[in-house]
Amino acid sequence: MKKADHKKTLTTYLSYELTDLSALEEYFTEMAAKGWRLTSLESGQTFEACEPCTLRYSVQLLPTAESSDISINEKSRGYVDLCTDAGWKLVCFEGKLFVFVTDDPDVPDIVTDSQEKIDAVRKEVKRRFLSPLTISALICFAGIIFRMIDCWIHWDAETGFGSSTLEFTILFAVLVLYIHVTLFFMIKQVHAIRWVHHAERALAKGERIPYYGWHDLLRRSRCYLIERIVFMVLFVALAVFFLVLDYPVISLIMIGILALLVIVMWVDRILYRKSYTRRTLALSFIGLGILMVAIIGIAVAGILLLL
Amino acid sequence: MPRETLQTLTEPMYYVLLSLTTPRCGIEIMSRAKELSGGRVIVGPGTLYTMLAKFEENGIIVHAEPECPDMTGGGTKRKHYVIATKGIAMLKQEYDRLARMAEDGKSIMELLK
Repeated sequence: MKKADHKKTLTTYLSYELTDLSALEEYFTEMAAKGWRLTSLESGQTFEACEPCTLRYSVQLLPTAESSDISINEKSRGYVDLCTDAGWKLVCFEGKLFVFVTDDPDVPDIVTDSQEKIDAVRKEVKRRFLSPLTISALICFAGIIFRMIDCWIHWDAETGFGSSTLEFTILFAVLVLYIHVTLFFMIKQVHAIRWVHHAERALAKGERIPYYGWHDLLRRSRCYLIERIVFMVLFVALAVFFLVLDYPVISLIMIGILALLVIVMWVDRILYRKSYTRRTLALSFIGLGILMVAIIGIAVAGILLLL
Repeated sequence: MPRETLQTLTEPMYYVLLSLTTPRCGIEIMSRAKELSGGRVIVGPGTLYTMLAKFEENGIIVHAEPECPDMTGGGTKRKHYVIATKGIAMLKQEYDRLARMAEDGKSIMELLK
């Protein structure tokens, strides 16, 4: 949690999932009661200082929106207009997630059908599982395994640390990091599927839907933070491991990738903080993409020259 | 809301269709449904939006010109809907089903009194 008193803003970095919409509503209401009103969901949750007040928040997963949307599309505009007519005010949105607020306790909830809430989560989970990114990630996973088996079969025992050993080690390192990221993603999705299943059973039995509270969200967020630290440590450890094995170039590349990740996150934060046009944002990302490809190309060329 | 669920209308669906016998925009549908049900059925704007989209997709309702553009206070920008022939048939079918159910239970309920 970063506090910037001079600007009277507060930014928190809670990691939330599809099943945390109610928890987020609770969290924002709690923050408003403490004198912090939500202003943005981009690069963390940004709050602005205000008089402590009682506000009702509604966080909705809009089926009409796309994750890549940086402005409200026409269909979502219809949804937002209807909510505005009903007494809700749009605070901000991030991809498919829209946050509305009202100070009127008599305004009806945005979604009054519990099944609809569950359906929205189920559809999004299904979409993520079947996304081209997930499918291509699984194909890459199979490719890495296949190549590792191939390296193992054609192991050159006489030459010892030969090129096959190097390739095998690189593949192993990639695999460890890959499994870490993929497993974490899968665990999150399985968790969401389990929640949908429990929620539907509860609804069928006429019981309360097991929504998570904001304390659960805070607890889980701490776990995610630990996971990120573990990931970073693992990454650096692997870089050191390659250095010890006398592969300083690979080690340097790994550190370079880490630095690049930090730069991308930083640029992303700056770009989203400012209200740039869609064209400027698109051009910036294309430029950044070209830069990354160029860096990777130079690194690969360097390795080839050294080998 | 799978397609087959439209075979039988839920309570909010029934009141929304009842509200659409004259052209209305979203906020008017919400207040009309509440009024018709005596404040018992409240349809949230998000739920209504999803419901209207499904109804429109299935030809149960259609876009309509508002009877009086000024009645919403916001001019003609708001989308107005009205029940279609298919919707009227569904509404009648549902009304008959509910009436039959009430009739079927009538004698039993009298015995219970």
